[in-house]
Amino acid sequence: MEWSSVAPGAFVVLDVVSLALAGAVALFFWRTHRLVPDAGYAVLASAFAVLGLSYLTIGASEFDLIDPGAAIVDAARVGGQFLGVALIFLNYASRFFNLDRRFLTVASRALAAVAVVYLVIYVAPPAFELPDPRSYLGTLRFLEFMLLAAAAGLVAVGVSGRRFADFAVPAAFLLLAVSKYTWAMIAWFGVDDAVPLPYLWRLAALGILLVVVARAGGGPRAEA
Amino acid sequence: MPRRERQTLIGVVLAELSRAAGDRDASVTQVAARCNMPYDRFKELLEDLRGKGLIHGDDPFRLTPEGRKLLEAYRAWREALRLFGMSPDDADRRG
Repeated sequence: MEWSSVAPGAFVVLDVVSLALAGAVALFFWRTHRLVPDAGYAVLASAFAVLGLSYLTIGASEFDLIDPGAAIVDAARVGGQFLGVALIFLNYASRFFNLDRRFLTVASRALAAVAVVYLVIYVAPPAFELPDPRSYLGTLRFLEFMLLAAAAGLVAVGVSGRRFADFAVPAAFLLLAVSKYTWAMIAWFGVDDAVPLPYLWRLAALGILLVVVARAGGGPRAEA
Repeated sequence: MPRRERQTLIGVVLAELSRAAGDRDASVTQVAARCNMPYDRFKELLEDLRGKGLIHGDDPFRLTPEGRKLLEAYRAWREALRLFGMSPDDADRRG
């Protein structure tokens, strides 16, 4: 089925819903960072904010909704998603290996700077010709799949769970990883019929994360 | 006192006070020790909590409804962070 001819608008709506869900998770970590100023919380808040914002470009890029020739939309999709996933992995890896929090701060800022430079060169192209972001989309999505799967493993170790529900966040990260894997397959083999699947995995993952942060409610007040 | 310590400390103190409320032999000194705090600093914090209406004026082991609400919020917040593998205790240890 050609989804682009059926309901591209529906996918854009799902992208907006994804932004709202990822935004709620980002807000939770931002508020936590205000209470406990640890770099890890700031990095996760930034990661989910970047993921949420770049979700807005996925449907637009996949179905060429804005301007078929506008590489910046594809670049924002590719760069934003990769930055968000890389920040999540970086946070859990630095925590797992008990690295100094200054490392996490410096490394995450360096990653963000690279992402900004990457976007700028697609906004104001240099003299040489830039590759089409879609030409390496599959490779980056596969890399994101591996980073998220690794992050899921690191979270599972970190929670030292006893009950099934303790593994909600690793399960959500695995679902996000599967969505990346599906996008990689779509990009490599052009199986457009499968486009709803990564949306399904993504929304399921973000739904689980929302349930986890919703249980925390407003959290303890910063002024107490 | 940095805000990070203060936030986690208030939660720990309220949790220990709540636990001590069911113990007839509990004393302020014992709860201060359980919270790993010097007695003087613990007394100061109790005064602060009393001033904010989180514990009763006559019995420091009795949390007010506002204090219980804050304790529940603190526990729910910690639980969410634990599920993310991001416990604030780990953040404290990393310094």
